[in-house]
Formats: sequence, structure tokens, C-alpha cells
Amino acid sequence: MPEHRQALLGGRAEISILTLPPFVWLLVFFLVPVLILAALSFSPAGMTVEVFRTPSLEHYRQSLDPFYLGILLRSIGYAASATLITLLIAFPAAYFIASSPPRRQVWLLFLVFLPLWTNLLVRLYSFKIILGDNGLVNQLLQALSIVGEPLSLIYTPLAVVVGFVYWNLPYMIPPIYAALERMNPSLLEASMDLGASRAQTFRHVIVPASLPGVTTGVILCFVPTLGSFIVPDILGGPESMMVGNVIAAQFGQGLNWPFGSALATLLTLLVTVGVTLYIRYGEPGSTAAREARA
Amino acid sequence: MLALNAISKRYGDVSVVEPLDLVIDEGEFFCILGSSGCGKTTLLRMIAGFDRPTAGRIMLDGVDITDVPPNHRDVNTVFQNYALFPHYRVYDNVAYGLKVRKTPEAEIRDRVAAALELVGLSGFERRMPAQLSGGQQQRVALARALINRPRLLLLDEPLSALDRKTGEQMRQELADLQARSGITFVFVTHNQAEALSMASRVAVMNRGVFEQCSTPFELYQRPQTRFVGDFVGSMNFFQGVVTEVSPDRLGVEVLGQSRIERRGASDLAPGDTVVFGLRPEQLRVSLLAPKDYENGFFGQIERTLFLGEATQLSVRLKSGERIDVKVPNYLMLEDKVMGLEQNEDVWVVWSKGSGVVLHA
Amino acid sequence: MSAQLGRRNDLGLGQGLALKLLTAFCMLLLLAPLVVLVVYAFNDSRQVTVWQGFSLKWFAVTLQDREIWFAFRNSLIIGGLNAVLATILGTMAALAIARHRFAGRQGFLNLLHYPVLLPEIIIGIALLVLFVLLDVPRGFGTVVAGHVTFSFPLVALLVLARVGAMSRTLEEASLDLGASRWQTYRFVILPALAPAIVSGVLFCFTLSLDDFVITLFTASPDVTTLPLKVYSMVKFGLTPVINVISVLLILFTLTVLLAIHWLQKEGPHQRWGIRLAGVMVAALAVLMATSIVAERRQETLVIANWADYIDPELLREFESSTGVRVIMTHFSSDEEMLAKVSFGRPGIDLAMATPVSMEILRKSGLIVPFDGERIPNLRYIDEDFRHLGSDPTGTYSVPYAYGLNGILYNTRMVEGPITSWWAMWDERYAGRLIMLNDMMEAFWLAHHLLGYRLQDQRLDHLDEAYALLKKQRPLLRKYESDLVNDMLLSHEAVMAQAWNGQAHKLSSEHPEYRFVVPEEGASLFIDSLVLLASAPNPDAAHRFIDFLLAPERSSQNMEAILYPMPNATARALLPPEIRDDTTIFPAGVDGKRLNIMSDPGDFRRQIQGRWERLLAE
Repeated sequence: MPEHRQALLGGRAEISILTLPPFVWLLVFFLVPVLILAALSFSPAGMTVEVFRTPSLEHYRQSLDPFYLGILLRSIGYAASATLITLLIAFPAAYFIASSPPRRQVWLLFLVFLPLWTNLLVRLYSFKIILGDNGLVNQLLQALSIVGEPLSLIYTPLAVVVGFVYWNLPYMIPPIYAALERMNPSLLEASMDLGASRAQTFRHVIVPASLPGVTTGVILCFVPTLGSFIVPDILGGPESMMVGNVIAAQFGQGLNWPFGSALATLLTLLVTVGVTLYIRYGEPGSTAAREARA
Repeated sequence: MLALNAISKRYGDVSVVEPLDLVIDEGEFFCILGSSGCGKTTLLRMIAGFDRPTAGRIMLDGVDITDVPPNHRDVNTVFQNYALFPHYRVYDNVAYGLKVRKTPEAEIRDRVAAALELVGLSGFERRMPAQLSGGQQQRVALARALINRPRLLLLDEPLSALDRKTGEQMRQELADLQARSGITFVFVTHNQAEALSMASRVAVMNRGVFEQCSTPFELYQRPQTRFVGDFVGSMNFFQGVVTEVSPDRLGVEVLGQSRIERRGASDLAPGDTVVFGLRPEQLRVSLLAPKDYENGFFGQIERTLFLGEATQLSVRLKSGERIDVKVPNYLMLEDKVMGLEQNEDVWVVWSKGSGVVLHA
Repeated sequence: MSAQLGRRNDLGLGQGLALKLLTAFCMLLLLAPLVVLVVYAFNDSRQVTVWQGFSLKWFAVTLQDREIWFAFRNSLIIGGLNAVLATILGTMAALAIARHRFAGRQGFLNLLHYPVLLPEIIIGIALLVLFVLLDVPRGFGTVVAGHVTFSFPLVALLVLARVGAMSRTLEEASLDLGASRWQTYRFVILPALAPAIVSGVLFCFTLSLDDFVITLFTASPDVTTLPLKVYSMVKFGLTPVINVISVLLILFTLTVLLAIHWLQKEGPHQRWGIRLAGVMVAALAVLMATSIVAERRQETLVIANWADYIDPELLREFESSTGVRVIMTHFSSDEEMLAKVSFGRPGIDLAMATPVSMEILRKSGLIVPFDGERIPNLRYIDEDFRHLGSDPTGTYSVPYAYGLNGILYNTRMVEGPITSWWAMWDERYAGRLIMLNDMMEAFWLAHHLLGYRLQDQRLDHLDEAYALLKKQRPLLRKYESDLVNDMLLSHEAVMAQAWNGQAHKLSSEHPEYRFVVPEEGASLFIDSLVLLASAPNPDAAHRFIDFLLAPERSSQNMEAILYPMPNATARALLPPEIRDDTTIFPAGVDGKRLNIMSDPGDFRRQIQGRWERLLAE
């Protein structure tokens, strides 16, 4: 931006008025609490909340015990597989919507957003009806004589992953759709014109054009899934416990806040790395800006 | 080589291209000229295979390609905004058509180098499209299309996004390129200067139909409709009535005076109401009455407009109509045309035969 | 060709049959749960998974539920406050970033991404720790603070996109025409941003209405929101009421969206329509504000209790006779209760404690003695229960009810009769067994079956017990305390460790289910009410206990919850079919075989570590 424009745009006072309230809010209700949480993770276990007294690393040692490390890895595994499956389901749908006539696009997008109209808990609860031993899936399978005994679907890792996929779809489809919709359609025509088949056009033009949207969608799915505790809590059995459940348990029945804080701090660090990568490479805006500078 | 048989395109109730026929010969530089929305781009897209004609057939070298998808047509397109793949380097953009046809790597390398050299972009292989100027992107788009050695190259307003100087320079290069490669070009534009300067034949399109299809010279000199006369160059129009028709003469009564002209639509009969057109640059002003090989109007200079390469005079005729005259600048004395003042009475004069008589 | 991909697509790209099928599958996945929810809201049966015919009765049940209305109202208030605050803060942040250059601008922009992307649970517990450290009582304020924290950065990013697209020349034109900076904001910038701001408001409102995790950690028991209410309903049972709530939520959102769409459409209705909407929103706000003020004035009593563990009729009677509003907050394990009452100022008066948790609470100074003088009805409590090991003076607790656990099984699907706990290790029922989700019960039972005593606190015994439980683990469907009956009914399980009162509810309606106390013995629990040191209203707590202990009320309460109470006078008042029920009052139970749990002290952490492993493996 040219220098002379700055003078036009209000002075320091205006900047302070606009910046201070949101910044102070973030400071008080976000940065400071997260730092306190980190500090708490060095306190000894117990039922009192004391910070900065007899610091110890015992909770981090405990976190790195194979058992808790296993839960952390499992959480990453769940988040990764759920994100991948979501992507595989969302991509064709997003592509189909983006290439539909405008009127149909509106309707399909409406349907994609429809689940967000009602509470997530309620929607997950609906999976209990669908996946239960007496649930609709089993009723259907038994009616078709595909299985004799009902399959155990609910309270399994499968149910958790299905729940995650369902939860994430409305967050994965829109960014991919937006990226494809933004794409210059003559790129597709150019590709076909130059002799590429549909499959080649898909691979060489559509997939690269969708990448900013895919990146955004993947992050928007992966990160919340990694820290989720409702979905495994409602749909999962004990073997699908994730790091979010362990943290919640330490703040609940576990009565061990410092250990919960240590796990939360580790999760925060993990996510922060992800978010930082996202800010640097994920957003279409920042990518474009970097290219322009190069 | 390319033949369109009664092809047309409708979107619902809206007719974009009326049924039309066209034959383009090998090696032609064919231009479709028209204002935006006239259907020229749709016509081009049907030839490329992006849009399906509502009716009619498209033949290429005698083979019906109407139902052939664009990737199986021996036709390539240069898009209006070039449509370079933003995520590929120049090299990969140009190589795209060969790569998707599984051409051996070594051959691709040679042909890309040759194609880039042809458009004067050797050494730009590693650049991204976003790092190129408009003119350079244009050349990449050309190279990308030409490398496939198509039977037919379609160009959709390729110069419209360039600044005027670059655009004019590219006209030259395009014409050269076409001559050297011998590939048939079909060029779509709304810019008459581009059409007249490059094309071997021009079709003027208006509301989905061809108004006229002929060489640039014919188009300019012998427009066949009022639309063409007005769209290609500019023209003063007057109402008239045909008084006399013979093989080498045409009598028209305009503004109460009988004129003898030669050029005009061929199927006129005495008594027809017509439009009489005069190009401003074929008129001159004079203080003397027209000679007998000339025709003229008498009027008063109303306004002078300096255009740079010429000066345009608006002359108000006795009958109240106005006529524009373009005067070359060597006739300027200081800043006045032949020293003429505003409101001075003058004759507007033209050689018999430079007027054009068209159907009303 | 600036047309979008879909606008002109004669090539039919992206419209192939395979893609159509995949999209249809995706849509099915997205919409099937909604359809199921809606359809089963009209189901006549209490069993959510079985269709029994069309009925609107669950709508009646839902709309008459006072708690749901309160929760909905609280959600609306929190959502409204959040929408206003977050939109203001977010718009400010967006304007600052888009229109100014200042030191740290990029950092500020980056910072905005973190609350959006960090898992909610982290923000939730971080705020909880903050509020506990600062000794801030939890309530509306703390919940709104939490919601604003995660929603205003989203608004900022949303508005930022819009400001970015807005031409600078608009502002310059305004300044050029003589407007001040303020006037430029008022007449040019804010109106141009209006659509983004409106969608920001809606967005924040929806986020609030939907948020569960952050609310869970920042709310006090008397500020239940709809998601919290729904969660406890989902946790403590499957009922069509949840379906009805979801139908109502969908209708609510649809109405709001249609109204806004209608207001945005040009036309003569716009002027008065906006005014009407404004008046309605204002009226709603006033209504809620007054209802909150009225509620704040009203005395309240907050009790942390097990689900379905008190007769709601009695609560209503107490409320109407004293004017004190009683609020229940539920927990599903002893440890969860401890967590609920232990930190900061949770705003709870009375809690239902086991001997174990009572001992912990007493040692940590979190509970205070009752004033016996003010509870004359204490005299009805059986003498045996007045001086338990965990409360020798008998002043810290008022025994409420007791019971035993045993095995509840489906006689049609299990070869009976069952007499031993080892049936819970029977591989024939692999995957269809349930143990209580209770750490102490599980480890006590394992010790007991191995012939050890948990009180000895021996690590080698503990490891053996752990090995035994681990062997059982693959046979279990779930460790579950709350949904045992539902899971047995739906045949997701055939045999479960269960409490006798719970068991009676099922066996009395479905005779094929039988409850037995195995020959090895069982664990006895005693639940007592304790008074928290941080209780906001100890006076009402005393009055409530005295009210509850009156024999006729105790008897009524016993009849409702079906657990025995240490109140012989009241027991005598029970109808004979209950008094003689062997599930509620198991016969031939030898006192020696019964265990009363005590606090394991620091040994708890050893048990806890193994328990978590069991849960996760």
C-alpha cells in the first residue's frame, strides 16, 4: 500500500480503540489461561489447584508412558483415518456440486448445511438409533438375511470413525466446493482441447485447483477430531478412548488436574504446530501472496 | 476443410446462433467479427467442441465431428484469458498436450523448445504463468496450442486483454506465424482493426447470423448491409429512393437531389427505399461547387474535432441533417482546416461512385 | 469467460453417473440421521429403536418439561449475549487488521486462528482453571466469556474477507466529501459490511446454541444450556424426548432463517418487517431479562445427585411449600461427583456422597457438619447408619439410601440360574456383558474373588486383580453405569453388574430379567447427603433434608427410586408388594459378605492408572 494512504486512515487512537478490546479479550480469556494450564502441568498431583510450587516433570513422564503415548497415537490415527475418509467422500460431492447448474448448487449446498441446524449431540445420538444392535442397520441387514445375529456396530472404533466422518462432512465439502467453483472453467476446456481425457483433466487440472480447499478442509477436520471427546464419548466403547477423553477424565473422575493439564499442553503443542503450518501454507490468500512475492 | 452445415445454438428460448453455413479452406486466416453477445464465441466453442450445437453438423476434412469430444478433435484453442494452468511452469503448460498423449519425453523436450522459439520465449521454460506479462502469457498460450500441430487453431479474442501497443505488435506476429505454420486459423474478435489487418476473410456476425462474409477490402469498400457499413469503419447514412438501375449506374434521390452512384446491393429496382452511405474519409470539403464527376451537399461547418492523425468536421446541411467529414492533416493551416472558420459555408464533395446504396 | 464452472457446462464435466452415485451416498450419510431423528420423534414407543406407531405424545412430554424450557431459555440468552459481544469484538479486530498497519498486525491476525482451531476441550479446561484460580463463581458470565472467546475470532475472519473485498475508494470518497472518520464508519464502512456482520451474528448465535464442551467446563449447575441438558439425557438414557428436541431445534432454525431471508428481500414489507422483528427481539430480550432477574431473586438449592435418584414429586412439593427452586445436577460416578464439587466455587449446596468420597471431602475440608438442631427428623434414621466408619461423629452426613450390586440378566438368553460372579467371565456371552463403570467396585470385586482385601493396599494383589479384570475385558460390551437397562432391553447385552434399585425398574416391567446377589457376596453402597463448605444456601439445605426425612415422604421417595432407606418408620409405611420385594430388599444376604467401600487414599492413584488402562484397552 502506498505510503500516502496511511495518513488518510485515522491515527494511533483509532488503531488502539479498534485493536485493544479484542486483543485484551484474547489475552485474558485465551493466552493467559492456556499458559496457566501449562504451568499447572508442572504441579504435583492433587485436588488443589496450585501453580508454581515445587515444579516437577512427573506428569510429562507419565504422559510419555507407552500407554498414554498409545492413546495419543491412536487419537492421531483416528483423526487421520477419519479425515481421509471424509475427504474421499466429500471430494466427489464437492466436485459434483461445483459443476452443477447454479440452481442445483444452491439446493445441494443447502442439504450439506442442513445437519448443522441441529445440535451435534442430538445427531450423534441418532447414530445410536441407527447403529445399535436393534438399530436400523441391523434391522435392515437381518431383514435381507445378510446376517443372522446382529453385528456389534455401536461402541466400536468403527462407530467412532463413522461419527467423525459425519461430523466433519459439512466442514470438508464447502472449502473444496469453493476452490473448485472459483476455478477458471476455461482451464478445463483448455485441458480437453489439448487432448487430455476426462481422467487426465481431473488429475492435472481439477485436483491441483482444489488443493487450497482440500488443505483448508483437511485442517478443519483433522484438528477438531484430534481433540474431540464427545464423539468417542457417545459412540465409542472403552477401546476407542482418545486423548480428549483422557483429559476430560483427569478433570472429572480422575481428579488429577495437573496430569490433565500436561496432556492438554502436549495436545496444544501438537495442534499449534499444525495451525502454524496452516497459517503459513494452508490459506489460499497467503499462498497467493507468497507466489506474488516470488 | 472445415464446413459448418446449418448449425445453430439455443439456450432454452434464447437463440444465440441462428442456423448458418460456412466453409473455411485450408490455410485460411478466417476472422469472425462482431460485438459482444453476437454469438461469435459460441460459434467458436461449438467448433472446439465445448458447446454442442442444437442442430446442424460440423465437418472437418469431410468427417463429421459434431459428436466428437474436444480432446479427440484435431482442433486447438487459444483462450481469451489464455487459460494457462497456474500450477504448471511454462514448460509444463506447453508440454501438456504432448504429455497427455504419452509422447516420449525426448520428443516433448525438442518440440517444446521449438514451440517456445517459434513464439520467441526461449529461456522462459522455468517461469510460472503468474510471473509473465500479458503478452508473454499470450505467446505461451499460442505455443501450447501450436505444439500439437492442429488442423485448425481457434483464437478467442486473444488480443483483447493486451495493451494497444502490444496488441498491435502481436497482430503482425500472428499473421507471420500463421503464414509460416500454414495452419488454418479461426479468429474471433470485436476489434475491426484486428480483423481487417490479419484476416484473409472476415465474417461479420450480428445477432447470431452472418451479415457478410468476404475479404477485408470488400468488407470495407462494398458493405452489403447497413450494419456492416456502420460496424466496419464508420459511415454517414441518408434516406433515399432508387430512381434508375442499369448495369453500370445506379440513380438515387437523396435529400431531394438525384445522384448517380455505382456501388450497391445488386437486387435494387427503381422506387425502392434505400439507405445511402458515405464514409467520412472519402469526403472532402470545398468552397467550390462539385464538378460533374462529383456529387456534393452544401452546408455550414458546425464543429471541428481534432483526432490526431486527422480532423473531423461536422457539417450541418441545409436540410438540417449532419454529415461527418474526415480531413487529412496535411490540409491543416495552423490549427484550422484550410483556414476555415466555424459557421463558414462549405461544400461537402465526393467522387461519384464512392457512395454505397443499401437496402433500408 | 468469467462464468463459474457450473454455469456453462456442455461438456458435462463432473456430472458422470459414478459421481452422481457418490454424491447421493454422501447426501444419504448427511441426511439419514436427521430423517431418523425426525421420524422417531413421532414414535409411540418409549424404545427409540422400535417403531410402534404414530404418536405426538412425546411432543407433549417435551413441551411440559420445565427443565428443557429453562435450558432452552438459558441457551437463547447466552447465544444472544455471545452474538452481540463476539460480533462487536470480531468486527473491530477485522477493521483494525484490514485497514491499518501497526506493529504486530500479522501476529494479531495469526493469533486469531488459534482459538478457532485449538480443540475446544483445551479452551474449556483452561478457562475452568482460570476461574478456579481467580475464585470467580461460575455462571452466565463465565459461559458467555468462553463462548465469546471461540466465536469472535471466527467473526473477525469472516468480516475480514468482506472488508478485503470492499473497495478502499468508498472510504476515500466519503472522507473526500467531508465526512469525519466516525461518520465514515457510520455511513459507509458499517453499512457496506452489514451482510457480513449479520451472518456473523447468526453464526455466533448458532455456535453458542450448539456448544457443549466449553459450556460443560464453564457453567454452574444452575446455568444448564440445551446441549448440557441433551448430553445428560443422552448419557442417562435413550428417550424420544431427544428426537423431539431436535425436531423443535430444526424448526426453530428454519423459522429464523426464513424470517431473515424474508427481511432481506426488497419490498414494501421490509420497513415494517424489520421494525416488527426488532420489537419482537427486544420483547424477547426484556422477557428473558426479567425472568432471569426473577430467578436470581428466587432462593435456589443446588444438589449434585445420581440420575433418577429422588422423587420429582417431592421436589415440586418442597418448591411450592418453601418457594425455593431446587436444581439437580447429575453425575454418573463417585469420582465425577468429587470433580464437580471439589474445585473453585461450583455453586452446589448438597451432594450425594459414598463413604469413600465423603472421607475425601471431609479430609480436604470441602464439607462442613450439619447443624443437627435444625434437622429434627434426623431421629428417624436407623441407629446402625448414624456412625459409619467414614463419619464417626455422624455430623458430616445424612444417610440417604443404600443398596447392593449383583447380577441382572436376561433369563431367556442366559442359561441360569446364575449364582456366582464368575458368570461375568463366561466366554459364551463374550461381547454381551456389562460391568458397572465404577473403578472401586471393579477392583473390590476382583480382589474379593481372588480372596484378597482391597483395604490391604498391596501392589502385588492389585496387579493380580488387574490381570483378572483384563482377562474379562474382551468379554465386555462396555463399562456402563447409566444405560444398563436400555442396553439389556435392546439385547446389546444379556447380563450386567447392576444396582438392585436399577434392576428392579427393569425386572418389575419385564419379568424375563432377574436380579441375583451372587453367593460370593456383594458390595453395599450407602449414599449420604453432605453439605459443601462453599454452599451458597446452607439454610435451604437444612430445611430440605428435614423435609425429606419425614417418614411419609421417605416412604414415598423409596417407592419412587426403589432403593431401601435407613428409615424403619418409613419402611413400615411402604405397600407390601414393595416391602417384600426380594430385589429391593434381598433376602438371605449375610452381613459378612457385604462390603462397604472405604477411601484408598494415595493407593487410589495406583488403582486409577490401571483402571484407565482397562478402559482403553
